[in-house]
Parts: sequence; C-alpha cells; structure tokens
Amino acid sequence: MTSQTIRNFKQRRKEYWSDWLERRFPGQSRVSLGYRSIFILPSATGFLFLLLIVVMLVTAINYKNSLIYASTFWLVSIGLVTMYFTFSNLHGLSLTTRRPSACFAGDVVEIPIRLIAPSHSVWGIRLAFQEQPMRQISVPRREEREFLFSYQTWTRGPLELERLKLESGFPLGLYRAWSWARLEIDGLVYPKPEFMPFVFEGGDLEGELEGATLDQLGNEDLRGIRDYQPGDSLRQIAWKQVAQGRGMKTKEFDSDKGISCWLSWDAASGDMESRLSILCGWVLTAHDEGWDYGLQLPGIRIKPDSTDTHRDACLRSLALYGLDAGSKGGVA
Amino acid sequence: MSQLANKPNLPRNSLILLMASVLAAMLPHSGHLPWLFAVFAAFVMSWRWLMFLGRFPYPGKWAKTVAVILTMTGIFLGFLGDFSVESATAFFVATCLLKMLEMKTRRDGYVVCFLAYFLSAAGFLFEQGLLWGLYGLLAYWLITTALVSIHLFDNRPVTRAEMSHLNKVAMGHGSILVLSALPMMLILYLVFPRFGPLWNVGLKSNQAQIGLSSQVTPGDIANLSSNNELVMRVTYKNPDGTQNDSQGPPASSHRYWRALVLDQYEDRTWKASGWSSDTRWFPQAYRPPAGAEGITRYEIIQESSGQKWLYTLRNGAPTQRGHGITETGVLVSRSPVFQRIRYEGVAFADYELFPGFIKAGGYPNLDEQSRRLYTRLDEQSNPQTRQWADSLSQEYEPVELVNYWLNHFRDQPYFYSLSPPQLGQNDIDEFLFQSRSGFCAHYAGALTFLARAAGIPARMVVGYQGGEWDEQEQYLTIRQYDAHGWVELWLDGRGWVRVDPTSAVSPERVDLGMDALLNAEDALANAPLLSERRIRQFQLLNSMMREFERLNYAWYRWVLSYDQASQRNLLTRWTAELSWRRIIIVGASILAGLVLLVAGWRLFNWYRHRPPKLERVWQQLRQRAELAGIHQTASDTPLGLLGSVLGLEPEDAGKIHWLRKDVERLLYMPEGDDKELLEKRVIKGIKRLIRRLPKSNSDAVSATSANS
Repeated sequence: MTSQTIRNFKQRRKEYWSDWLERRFPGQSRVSLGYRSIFILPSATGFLFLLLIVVMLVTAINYKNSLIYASTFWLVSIGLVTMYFTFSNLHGLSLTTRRPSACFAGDVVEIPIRLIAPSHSVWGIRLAFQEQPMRQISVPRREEREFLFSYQTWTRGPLELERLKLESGFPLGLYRAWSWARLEIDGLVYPKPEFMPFVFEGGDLEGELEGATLDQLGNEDLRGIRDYQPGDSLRQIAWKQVAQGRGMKTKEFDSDKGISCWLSWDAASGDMESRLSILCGWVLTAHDEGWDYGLQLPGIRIKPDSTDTHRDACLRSLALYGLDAGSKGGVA
Repeated sequence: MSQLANKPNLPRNSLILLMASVLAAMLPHSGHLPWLFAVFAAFVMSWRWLMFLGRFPYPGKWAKTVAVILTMTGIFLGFLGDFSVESATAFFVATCLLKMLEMKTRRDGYVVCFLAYFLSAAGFLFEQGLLWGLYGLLAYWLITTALVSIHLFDNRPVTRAEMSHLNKVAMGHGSILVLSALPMMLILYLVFPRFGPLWNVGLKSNQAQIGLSSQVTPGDIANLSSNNELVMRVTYKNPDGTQNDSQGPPASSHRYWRALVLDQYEDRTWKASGWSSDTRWFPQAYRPPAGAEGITRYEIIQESSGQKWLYTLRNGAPTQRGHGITETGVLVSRSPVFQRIRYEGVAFADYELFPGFIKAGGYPNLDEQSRRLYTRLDEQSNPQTRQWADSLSQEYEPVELVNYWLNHFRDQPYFYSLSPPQLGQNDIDEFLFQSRSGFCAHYAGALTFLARAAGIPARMVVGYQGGEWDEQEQYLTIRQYDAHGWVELWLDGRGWVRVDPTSAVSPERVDLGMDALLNAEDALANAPLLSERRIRQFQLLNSMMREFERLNYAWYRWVLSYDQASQRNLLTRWTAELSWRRIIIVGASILAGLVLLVAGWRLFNWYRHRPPKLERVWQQLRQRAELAGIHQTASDTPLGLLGSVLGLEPEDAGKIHWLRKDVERLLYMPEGDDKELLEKRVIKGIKRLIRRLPKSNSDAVSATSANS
C-alpha cells in the first residue's frame, strides 16, 4: 500500500514537473534557449573548487601572505565570472528538426537535430534524449550543424519527442548549465509490423486474388530476364547478373501485375493493436510484391493501388487509426 | 545512466596543456625541492607522454601502488621526516605528478588542475618578487586554459589545424576568464578583512636562514660579506610620521641597525645570554613622543629571517602589537619572522644616555648585577690582552682608555681585511699582537674584551650598518653584506656609548658602506660570477637594474605588505573622504568606464567580423553611384553597375573598361596567389572611381551639363 502511495506521489511529482516545464518552456518546432529555459547550478567539481579556495584562504591567512591572498581572490572571481560564461555558452542556441525517416513502433529512430549557433560559438555541449548516452558537440558561431540522435519509439501514432536534454560545463566545469528542449516534430510511428500469412476473407471481394496461390506468393514466380531499360524498378534489377559482369538485367515476374486484393480489418485477428500490426505487415509485404492492394478499416476504405504514396497513405491510416488524428503531427 | 555519461573521459588532446600547467606550477618550487624531484618529474612526464603516444602502457593497480609508496617513502627520507613547508609542498608536488600519471577521466583532469592552482599559490611562500608575481599570473592563465581545453576537446581524433585552432580558442577563453576576474579580485583583495593566523602554523620553512646568528665567532660576519641577499628596506619619515619626500641620505649614525646584543664571551664566541627574559611588549613599552625633539621615524620592510629579532635604530621602541623591546634595546617579535613584514620604527634621539627604556632604579647607574654581567670574561683565555688592559686601566680613566685604544688601532699597523688569517686558541691575543688584520667582528670583539678586562662594562652589538641610499625613491637598501658588529661601553654618568672600532681602522667601511669598500677589496674575485656588485660595473645594466629594484620596492611596499594596518588606513581614508560629490564622480566614472568597455568590445567584435574589404569598397561604390543618380536593383550585376558608371564618366572610359575586365576575371577566377594581387588592383580601381564620382545628384547634373 505504501509503495503504491510512493509511486503515486512520484508519478504526480513527475507530472507536476513536466507540466511546469511545459508552461515555462513549451515545445515548438524551433526552440531557442533563453533566460527562462536555461538552468544553472554548481557541479560537484564546483564544490571541489570551493574546497580548494577555502584551503588556499586558510593558507593565506595563516602565513599572512599577500600573494596567496591575491591568488585566492583571483580564483574566487574566476569562479564567479564562470557562472556567467557557463550560462552564456548555452544562451541563444537554437534547435530545429526535420521529419525523420519512417519508423515502426519499437524501433530506434535517428532524429536529425539541427543546432544553430548564435553570434557566439557554442562549445562542448552534451546532449541526448533520455536514456541515451550523451554526445559532445560544438557549433562555431553563426553556423549550423545537424546531428542524428537515437530515439526509442514505443507506440504507434504521431511521433512525439520527449524532451531533449542539453547540458554544458564549459568553460571550467564548475557549473552545470542545462535545459530540456521539447521539439515538435512532424513524424509518424507506424504500428509494429507482424508478418503473417495473408488471409483474404469477408466482403464481396473474397477470392479475387488471381494468378497465384497462397503458397507461391511472394517468391520466385520468375518468368525471365531481359535487358535493363531506363525506368525499370531498382527492386527488379538482377543484381546477381550485374555482379557477374553481364550488364544490367531486369527480372521479369510473372503475372504479378494482375494481382489485386483487399487487406481487411476483419481478416486480421486479435485486439485492435495486433490487428493493426498484422495489417501493417500485410501492407508491407503486398507492396513489396508489387500487387495492387486496398485497405479496409472500420470507417476507412482505401482503394487498391501499388504506388509508394498509396503505401504511405495506408500506413498512415494504420498509424493514426483510433487516435485523435490530426491534433498532433500534422498532415503528411 | 551509462558509465560513460557519468565519467566522461579526459580528452587526450588537452594533455599538452595539462602537462604544461603542472610544470608551470612546479617551477617556483624547484628552488627548495631536492634535485631528485626534477628526475622524478622528468620520469613521470616522459612516461605520460609515451602513454599518450601509445608506446607505454597505462600504469596498472600494482604499478600505481608501488609508485605511491616509493614516492612517499622518498619524500619522507629526503626530508628526514622533517615536517616543514618544504616537505609539505614536496608532498603536494608528488601527488600532482602521480595524479597526472594516472589520470583517465575528466574528473582526474580537474583534480590535477586544482592541485596545480594550489601549488602555484604555494610557490608564493618561497618566492614573492615582482617577477614571480607576474609568473604566477602566467601560471594561472595556463592552468585555466588547460581547464577550458578539457571541455573543448572530445575524444574524436582531430587534425593538426583543428587542434591548433581549438588550443587557440582555449587560450582565448583562458585570457577572458582571467582578465574579467581581475576587477572583482582587486576589490576582494582590498576589502577582505585581514586578520591574524587562525592557528599557529606548525609548518615552518627550514630554508637555510642566511644572516646574523645569535652567536658570533669571528669569521661569521665575513661569510656574509659576499652575500647580496636583501635584508630590509628603510624609508625615513618626518618626526610627525608623515612622508619625508626630500632628504639627503641619512647620517651614518642613523645607519646603525641593531639586531642583537652579545653580552657573553665563552670559548672564543660572543653569545646573547637570554636577552628576551626582560622584555616590554608594545603598549607597555611605547613611549609617546613627549618633547618630540630628536625623534627618528622610519618604516622597515624586512625580509624573512626565521628569527625573532627585528631591526631598530638605537633607543628604539616597539610600535605595534606583538613587538617588544628588551632591556638591552633589542627590538623583538613574539614569533619568528617567516615572511616579509613591514613595521613602523621609532627611535628616540641619538642621546648618549638611554632615555627610551628606563629600568626602574637601574639607569643611568648600572646595577651591580648588570655590572658583573657586562664585565664577565672566561677564566684564562688571552692572558696577554688581559695583562695589557689591566696595566692600562691603572693609568687611564675609562674615557681616556677607550680613546687610547681607538688611537692605537688607528696609528698602529692594523688592517681591515675580509680574509684574515686563522686564529688559534687565544684568538684575541693573536689578533692584537700578531696578525693585526681582521674585520668588524675582530675589532669589536677585541675592544669588548679589552674593556671588560679593564673593568669597563661592555657588550658587542651586531646588526647592519651602511646600506645603499636610493636618491630618487628615498629609501635605504640593506643587504647581508652590510652586516656589522660594534661595541657599546658603559660610561658612568653617560650610560651606554656606541664605539665602532672598525671606523678607527677603516673609516671607509663606516662612511662609504660595505659596498664601496668591497669594490676596492679583492673580495670581488671571490664573489659568485655576475654577482650584483660585478654587474654594477656596467653602466646600462646598472641603471636598468636600479629601475627594476625600484619597481620591486614599490611592489613590496604597496602590494606585498598590504596587511591589517594598511587596510585599516586605506579604508579610513576612503570613508573619511567619502562625500556625495565623490560618490557621484566615482560612480559616474565607473559607469562611463563600463560603457566604454562594452562599446569597445562591440566595436572590436564588429571590426573582427566585418565583411571583406572588396565587399565594403563595392558597397561604397554602390552608395556613391546611388547618390550620383544611378538607381540599381538587387538584380543588377557588378558589371552592369560599372557600365552605368561608365555612362557617367565618359572620359574615364579606358580605365573603367579595364576595371570591368579585372572584375570579370576576379569573379570567375579560382583561388590562387594571383587572385589576391588582382583583388588589390580592383579595390584600388574602385576606390579611384569612388573619388571620381560626384558626391550628390546636383553635382552630377552640373558635371554632365558642363561636359555637354
């Protein structure tokens, strides 16, 4: 019971904290670090430095040595001005991001983050998403640098980034200045695909699959090889022949063109998420095979096609299915 | 959290700066550390460097343990378990070196840097000259730079160019940090309350203390004659304590600085017998100037001596807490002087009597006990001298007797020599009747002995005499070679009288000072190569040296000796002079200074990041063309602009034509040496064109109408 209470308390504190942060430093597509978003506290090294100062001061007092006094005060002043320099190293830094490549729930996606330095150089900042190892980066004045940061996704839907942690001890490491930046990103996380054998059922389109039986699907229904012509899909190039030095050849598949099918919600089994996963797997497989496929979800019906745009539209509706679509992530 | 995030590695590229700062912090200690330390440091540095290059392994756990044990044993044995400032700093130096050897994480780097900061400051326990002060600043800058570089580099491999760029950035940040800390440091230095030691420092420096010692065997003082180490500097003041700005060099009688009174003769050695037993400490002993007649006031900056005695003129009195005056007129401090100190001095007239410190019922009549003390000799040494003194005392009164001896020294062939022959058991006999050659200690010792043998209370005084007067800065510099010994005799009715037998033999020693005398002596040949005296023979060097000495003196006087008293003086002066007007003026000037500083900084930044010259000149041309009535849009090309200008200046057509060709070439030319030359030519051409162009539209109109 008590552990439950503590957990609740921790949860509440975390929520309170993130709410506070959200009010103070809301997520944006371009984030600029200002006075309100940079925090600074002495680091452990700073306390060690303080100890050094105390020892030196005692030495100066006991030996009544003017130059040791001067050295001590020099260190004190350096320690104080460093606070400003540590803060201003982060101050003015802007961050933006672009849409990352497609990803599926559970993947680690590489998020491109662009750091834009203000009129001063930003030295030795370390940043990472939570749970990821920190990475040290410098950006010269008025320049931009883009870096990829690993980000672990968990659930399908619009990609919502957690806060990115930035910290810097530059120049002396006596203080730690840090910030939590939340970047709004235009990205989608598709359901985690599950590759299951196709099941076509339900609706009036049952059995419309032509030209191939279930067992043979997806594999070498190869008719032959012909010379490559500009415009042939890269996927159909016979790379083996190319590697053997016989020139560019294109594999021709038999009758694939003719296959047209509907991938339907009712054909998949399980709860909503596993149905979406299965459908996702089917969409991917069908697209790879070059079929015309349509997608049927409760309330959504996408007509058969075989283009990349079609695939993306299918995946998108799978990703957003049942969610408050459109509120986050925008329109692709 | 991964281990990596918690303990970031020390970037390998900051190693050079770290090693340099450790070396810089160690350098001031090289003077007092055993030479083995240099070997140790070289060993550690090379090992570390080889590790950096990957040719040597990182020390393992065992290697580290062994290294620590060996080093600490070495220090313990090297200093023979003697806990002094030296052994303590040796410990820190060793710690710093060992830490540098094993440092791996960024935190290790911090520890090394902080130790270096501390070592650098601790160096000031030993060296405090102006140059060492500046050196300390340099060391602090270097260490700060090293700290910056720890944060600047990461562990990516960098190119040589990138590395040198980052090193420059680190240096720049180091400079900014150190300099921007300066104002606050100065304020703290001035206003931070100075108070006495928190506890009695157990660790004393056992640096060989050069100088006088509490016993004098003839020969000791001569050892000092080739030592030019500074003893003290003296500024004389007006009797009311104000600064005396125009005075000649002090009379030689004002140059007898007493340090010790030696009243006991035993086994050929003069000793001080418990002189501190009867001491009056400051508030008690201080006699306010009643008549204010014949008071000498001065200020002394005394170097560390490791002894309790201070220096004073005759009949001096203590002026601050912790100082006292003994019955014999020796100024003493409660604790040994282990660093440079500054104190005010006051001496009451050069009376022959002793008015400064009157022992109740004692003076001017010497009591029996003192009389016995000051006439005591050992049992049987120097029979010849005793006999001589005894026989003379039958004939002469004490005063006549002293004069007789002084005349004797003057008229008989006695010589002043810094390298007299060795003397045997009856040294005074041998000196008086055979060798007849010696220096102050011989003459003073002999005269004291003679006086005592004749029943006149006598004591030997050692201290310094002479010194070098700086006419411009008005101070007296006293060095070890100014060490001197003289005699004080008790004459009934007159009290203690100073008699300097050396002046009878060698008046130059007293009048000109030791320095002048030594120039004549061949002692020069024995002095260390390029000693200060020898350098003085070169005119230019001489004056440079003198200037440096002055600077150093100002440094000592205004910076190093800033203590509780001077702080109180300064603060009271400030507060006394505090008025609204002053506050406003000072505040306004500080504000103006800050504004200027910021403006200057912005200007500098602008200057640094302004567009290249060609672009600026081109902008000027555009503006001028605009004024002259040539309207341009963003899409106009440079050549187009030049073409329009051509229309305005038909008679320059040839030149503009060539300029156009040049611009064209410049725009499409790859980078190369010629490009710079061409760029210069183009800039010149454009500038000439700007000068030719009319300054305003009306001018242009009139110019064109004139042409047509």
